[in-house]
Amino acid sequence: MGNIAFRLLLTFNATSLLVIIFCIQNNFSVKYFYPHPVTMGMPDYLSYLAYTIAPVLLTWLSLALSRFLGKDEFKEGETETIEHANNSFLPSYLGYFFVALSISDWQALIFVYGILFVFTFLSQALYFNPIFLLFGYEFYNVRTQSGTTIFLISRERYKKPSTVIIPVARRINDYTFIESR
Amino acid sequence: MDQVLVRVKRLRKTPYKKLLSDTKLYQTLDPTAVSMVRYNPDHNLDEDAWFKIDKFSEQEFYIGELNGDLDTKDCDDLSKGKFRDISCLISIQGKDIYFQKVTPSSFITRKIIQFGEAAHLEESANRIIVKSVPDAVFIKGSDVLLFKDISSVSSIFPGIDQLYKEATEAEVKAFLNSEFIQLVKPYDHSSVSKPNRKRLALVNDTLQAMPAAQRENLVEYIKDYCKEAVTLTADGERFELSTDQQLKFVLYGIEERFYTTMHSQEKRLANSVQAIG
Repeated sequence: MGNIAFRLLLTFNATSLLVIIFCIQNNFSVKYFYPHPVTMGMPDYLSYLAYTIAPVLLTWLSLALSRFLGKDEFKEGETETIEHANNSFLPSYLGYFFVALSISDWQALIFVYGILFVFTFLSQALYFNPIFLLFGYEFYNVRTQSGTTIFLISRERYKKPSTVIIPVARRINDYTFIESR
Repeated sequence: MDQVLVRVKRLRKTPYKKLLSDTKLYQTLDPTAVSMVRYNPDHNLDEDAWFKIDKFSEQEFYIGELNGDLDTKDCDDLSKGKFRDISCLISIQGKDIYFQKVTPSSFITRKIIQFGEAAHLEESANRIIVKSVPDAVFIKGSDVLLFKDISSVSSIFPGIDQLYKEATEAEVKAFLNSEFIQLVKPYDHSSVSKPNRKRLALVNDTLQAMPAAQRENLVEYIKDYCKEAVTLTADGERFELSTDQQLKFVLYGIEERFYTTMHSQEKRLANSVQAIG
């Protein structure tokens, strides 16, 4: 149960940008949702800033929660190849921008976001969230000696496979691991 | 890091799943502190002793997945729905690997009353009892497999029961036709019990290697120790077998299980032996 909740949180963090862009594009600031004398006088950019900070905080929460996940270990010599993967997910992320910019009403947003959310959740691969970069995390594709390909999220800057020695890596899902601090 | 994997029934392609991490299920076994006996189906194991199989990795029933370092990253997490299908717990503790067979009786499905601040009833579901002593331990460094009971490890290491050999029908028949045995009807090869078939399989080798002179002394030797337990033919040269019990004593005799103590001169039977020196 906890695991599913955690994965829902990660999926939300990874896809929330779509909703934020939609709100900014259509001028839906806080006063639109919550008309109140205080919010009415607030400049729009403050609302947009709040929208942007929300997923950052949630991402921080998900990183903090990751220490309750199951542990694995990367021993010396287990890693055969390692490849930096920061760039590889950016195209798909840019896709969110364009989709969000072309949505014009709530109904379309709910459908598009719903579909995107479900597929991100089920694919288990698109959890990577650019906000991790803000926290200093890097993304790597790692191939182990037995040929298994793993997606590793880590704050270390790995270049050589032989340097990948991780005493505790948390398992987000069967293909994605995050190195604990 | 210590890890616990499980083997799941009916999953041919990926039978191994990850269950726990950073956990030791069993107390660490110190191979120097326990006594080990090379496996022999007729041996009655002392409580603190283990059967051992040397050169485990060269045996037919070795599990290839144990080669090298078992990498838990290759295994998926166990899903909740598959919990009931666990057939074996595999606890990787340091370099050694501990095994426990999981049977339907290993699962608890009882109601439990728990008393915290107030008593409440707990319906326990999805719980496995972890035994205090594992069924088998693989000491990787010395390539030795330790176990206590071959029947409980035979599902963990398919094919290990080949060590537990019973005499075939033909071997039993051949033995009962030996020159020193006279069968009394209705006792015949089909009435030989399972434990005796097991002993017979071991005795056959001894008998093949036995010099003729010793073979002749056999009758004397056995007669000397168990006058009441065995019956001889009228000429006193053959055993008359009419019960399984009598066959057992003859088999013990061939294995030289009868002896006299050195000081008290007491006649004894060793129902389990271990070669020393």
